[in-house]
Amino acid sequence: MTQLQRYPIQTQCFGQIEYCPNPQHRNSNPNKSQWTIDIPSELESFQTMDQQEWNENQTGWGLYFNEYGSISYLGTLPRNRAEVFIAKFVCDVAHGLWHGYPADYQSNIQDVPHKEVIFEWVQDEILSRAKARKILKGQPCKI
Amino acid sequence: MQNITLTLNGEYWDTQLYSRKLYLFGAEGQLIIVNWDEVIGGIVAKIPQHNVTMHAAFLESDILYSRSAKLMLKDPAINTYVLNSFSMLASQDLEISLNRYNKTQYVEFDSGLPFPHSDSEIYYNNLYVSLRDGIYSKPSSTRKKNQTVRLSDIPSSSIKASNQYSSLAFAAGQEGLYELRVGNEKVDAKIVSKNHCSECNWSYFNISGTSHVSDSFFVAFKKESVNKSSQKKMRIFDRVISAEEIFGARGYSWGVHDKVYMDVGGKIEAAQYYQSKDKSPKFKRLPPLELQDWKGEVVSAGVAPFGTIIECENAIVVVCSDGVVKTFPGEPVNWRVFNNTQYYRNQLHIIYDDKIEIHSFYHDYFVDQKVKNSGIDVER
Repeated sequence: MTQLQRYPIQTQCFGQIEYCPNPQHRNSNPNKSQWTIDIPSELESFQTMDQQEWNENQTGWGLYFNEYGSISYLGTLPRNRAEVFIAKFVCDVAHGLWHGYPADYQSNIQDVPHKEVIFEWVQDEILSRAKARKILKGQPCKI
Repeated sequence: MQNITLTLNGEYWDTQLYSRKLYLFGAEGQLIIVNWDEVIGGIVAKIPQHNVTMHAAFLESDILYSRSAKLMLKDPAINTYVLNSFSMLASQDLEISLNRYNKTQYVEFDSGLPFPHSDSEIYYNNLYVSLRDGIYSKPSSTRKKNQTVRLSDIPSSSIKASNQYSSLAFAAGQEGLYELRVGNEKVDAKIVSKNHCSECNWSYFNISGTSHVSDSFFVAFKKESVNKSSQKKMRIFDRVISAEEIFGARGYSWGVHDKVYMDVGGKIEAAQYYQSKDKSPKFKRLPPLELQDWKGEVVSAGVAPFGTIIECENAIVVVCSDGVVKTFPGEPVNWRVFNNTQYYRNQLHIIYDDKIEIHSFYHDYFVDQKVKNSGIDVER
């Protein structure tokens, strides 16, 4: 049974905020980054982003923490199937609905988290300065 | 041959060395400006017998590249003396300690620039930073925050200044490669290539664009007379040459001045750029660089006179111009070489979590510049 079947894609409400997983990032679309974590984990990543306020101007960046509290890979990229550990969340302002996808910060600078978010991750020791620099410069970065 | 290493403890983000000052961006975004001559002078005072070599290593890298110095180094006695002095310095643990009560030694203040940046540059006494929000600048030594100017709103991951054309090149990812004239008048950045670009470097008046997601490229320019009666020449766009066209292969590629390299499955292919008689760009293939200490995927790379620098996941590998391969283990926070400076081209700064290591390489003084495969030709 696929993750899609186990967790039907439907809008979830977190207080005033609505989040809807985008099926294009879970259907093996060769042109879209794909989540490798299940939908509850995607929702958890979104919730953490919202609670920690890792966002600005209706755009946020999330991470996925494993059972040991370490950041883990959450998706793969369409171009080379490389694993990535940052998610980007965007809000469709017209409908007030959020969705997210594994961020391809190397291809698209707009997928690089805002400097305030990166700084906070470093300050909170979630990310080393070495990895922060690689992300900001669009360089390969493994965890 | 070994390299000479200076260590300064502390948490830093970035480093610049310009006009006798060491600029350190602290981990909190503060700017620390160190009087470099005074700090090195303090070390030299304790080891006066190494005055000349310390001077060459950290204050004026060009003094031993001069014709007269090369002539003197051909004298076996002088050559031995200089090499012994460098070798003795290389065997020592040299440390810098900054005295917070000595305000002539260093100052520290809020940089007033957005932080953390992706890249930085100092050019004509102005400090430039690139980041997702665009390009910002301010005078390099001022504490005044209100002098910070946003020069461009195009997101950027890398910025490099030309040493000839009062221009900055910057990489804008999927938006391409841009060039920005700097001077008194504010001008908009001009697109140079629409190819994906993660990092950039100057190759004399050409620009080398590097990408981690698609083919790297070389933007060739040529100089042409403004008109038949004028001696004045203009720099004119010629064409974009893909790295695949240069090497006949695909891979991560980078170039600085006369050298271009490509990682083809762990083997570093090399080429030398030159202009043919009709001014068109040409590339002569060189023997590939021999690497014994390969550390996996290339994260970033650069070229300096002393050799080719390859950052891998957990180490920096330097293929020295004399063929020796040096490995600096560990994942660096940042690293930088200083090709645009006259005095610091022999230095490699590597920032780690709790310190910065300043490595000075001296082997290149003894290498024939015309035949080396690794590193920039300093005589060109």
